[in-house]
Amino acid sequence: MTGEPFVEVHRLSRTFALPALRPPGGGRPVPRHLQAVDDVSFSLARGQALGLVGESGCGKTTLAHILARLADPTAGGLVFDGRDLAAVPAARFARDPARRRIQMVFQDATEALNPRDTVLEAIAGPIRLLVPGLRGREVAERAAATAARVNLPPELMTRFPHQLSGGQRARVGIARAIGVEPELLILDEPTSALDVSIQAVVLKLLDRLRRESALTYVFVSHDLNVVRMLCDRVMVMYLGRLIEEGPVEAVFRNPRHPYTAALIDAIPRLGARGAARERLAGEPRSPVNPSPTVCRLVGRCAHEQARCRAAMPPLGPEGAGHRHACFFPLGRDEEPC
Amino acid sequence: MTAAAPLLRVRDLTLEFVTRGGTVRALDAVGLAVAEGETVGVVGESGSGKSVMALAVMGLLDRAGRITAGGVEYRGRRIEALPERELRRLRGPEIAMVFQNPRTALNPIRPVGRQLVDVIRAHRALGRRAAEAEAVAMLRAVRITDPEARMGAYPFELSGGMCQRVMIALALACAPRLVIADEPTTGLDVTTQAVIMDLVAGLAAERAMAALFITHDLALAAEHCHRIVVMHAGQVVETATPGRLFAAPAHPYTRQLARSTPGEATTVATLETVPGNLPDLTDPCLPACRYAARCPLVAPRCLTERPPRTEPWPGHAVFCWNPA
Repeated sequence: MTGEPFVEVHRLSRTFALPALRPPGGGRPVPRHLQAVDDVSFSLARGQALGLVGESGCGKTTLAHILARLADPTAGGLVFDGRDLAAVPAARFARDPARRRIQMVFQDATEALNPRDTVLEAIAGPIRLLVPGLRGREVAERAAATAARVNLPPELMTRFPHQLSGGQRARVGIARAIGVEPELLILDEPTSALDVSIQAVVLKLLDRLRRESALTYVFVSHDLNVVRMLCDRVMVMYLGRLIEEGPVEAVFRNPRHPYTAALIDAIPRLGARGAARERLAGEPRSPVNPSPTVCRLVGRCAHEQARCRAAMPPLGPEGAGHRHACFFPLGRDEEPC
Repeated sequence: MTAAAPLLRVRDLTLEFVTRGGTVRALDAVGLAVAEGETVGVVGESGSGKSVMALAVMGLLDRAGRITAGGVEYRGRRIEALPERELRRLRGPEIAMVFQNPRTALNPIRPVGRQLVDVIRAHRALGRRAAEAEAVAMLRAVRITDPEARMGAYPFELSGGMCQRVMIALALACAPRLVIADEPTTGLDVTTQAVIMDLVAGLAAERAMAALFITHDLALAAEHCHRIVVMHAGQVVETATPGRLFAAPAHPYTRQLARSTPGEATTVATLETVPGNLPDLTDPCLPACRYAARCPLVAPRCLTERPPRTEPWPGHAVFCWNPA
């Protein structure tokens, strides 16, 4: 991949203010904030598929919402195709010309669809709003063509969401996003509500759409095998921090961060009964007022040392294809290429 | 598996729900057995009837549900013939259930410690103090840190993983011989899921407790069960040990299911889909094998004659006219 990155995220952070809490012993209330996304930087080339994984509460959905410009960062930059979008407030972005180019597929299509809209109306809505200069009939034609692209049969166009199966609803959700021909598609757990047999169909569809339209994907998922299958690169987040990032095969075969290794270890495997595995101890720490000088995994990590409690490990090495944020990484260093 | 009579036997269980939209034939001659101390996994897509089967075992079926043939035997007693009072005596000390979504299954306005004490005192002759001590011990057994302090916590104050641990503690509080876990880790992170499954498997082994583990995740069942029962549209299609089931699946549905589960080496090209959808169970003319409409190997008699049970291997049974 050469030239300017398509998406460039620079030191992006998002905090949510919480009500101040009076300490138990009395005294002045302590201001509190929840650090959802903490100093995340990465870039994405046009046409790439980036997987975003981590436990619930790690900030992956908040980051996805910021990338889709549905939420605002509290600090940092987001450059999309040469233009800084972080400066445009999310409320104003709804009418920005770039709105059409960045679209999102939401987690649970059952909740994301308006129950009173037919399939045709659901798919036509974004087209009518975001593609200028189309007449009513052209909008309907384009909606029908989009439905065909996601293999929705024409007889479903007049149905309501409750009359559809889970797989069909997921397809309507995807059609809504791709009907306006976006370039960057953010997918937040698009198949987590589906059975494996239906999931397989939707995954194949997503892969085909990306290849047909040279789409760039940010794919948020808790299923690491799905990310490994569909994506070129993967980012692992833990309590708001980006802790490992690289090409999928490099990260899966040679995880450097102990958290990534534990995450991969926790995937159930067919025909591997009773295999002893590494497990993470305890629960994640609180994301409220996290210490900037302690590694977030302290307390759960089997490899921690005094240094991990004295400084936050940075993401590195700088400029490498496979980066990690650990002082005592697992595995082996890779050949620079 | 021992030669002795199994702890739980579901025999040709056939069950319908009468609804306004027609009669849903939810289970069709379902059979399975769980021996003392054995962990059996029931795997299938949503709508395969696995949860309904679990509720029938617990005697918790909805009024609209009607058993038309077969039945459930627990230690030689017919569950469906027992009056509610007897059933209540069975639930808890004998058979306990871990429900699917702990956030909705726990009482949101009662501290978790109180809920544990309620269960313990309902089934065991213990005073409040002793029951509280027992509740703390249970929370400790499911590895909740600082259990004394957590006794007073409400479910909303706990993470999903902790609520699930509380659910498990509730189920195990009366030391049941059989625990039924309905999707106990759905909605949890993989890391939490791994810890919870280790915990249940560890406690089951420690207490020689049998478990019926219901899941849609084939790989998860493979990892934690002694034996797996695969269900499709209310019928059992195959049962075997995990090793056998995935090395040599005999039923076309099991094969398709395994190939449609993304694994480490799966690529988009090798990922297979199960063609078609689950049949409509209100259809009065369902084919004899309910997989027939989706099956690549379908033959005319699959539609009219019930596939026989064959054993390609000792302990490995399949219901198919064209087993591999």
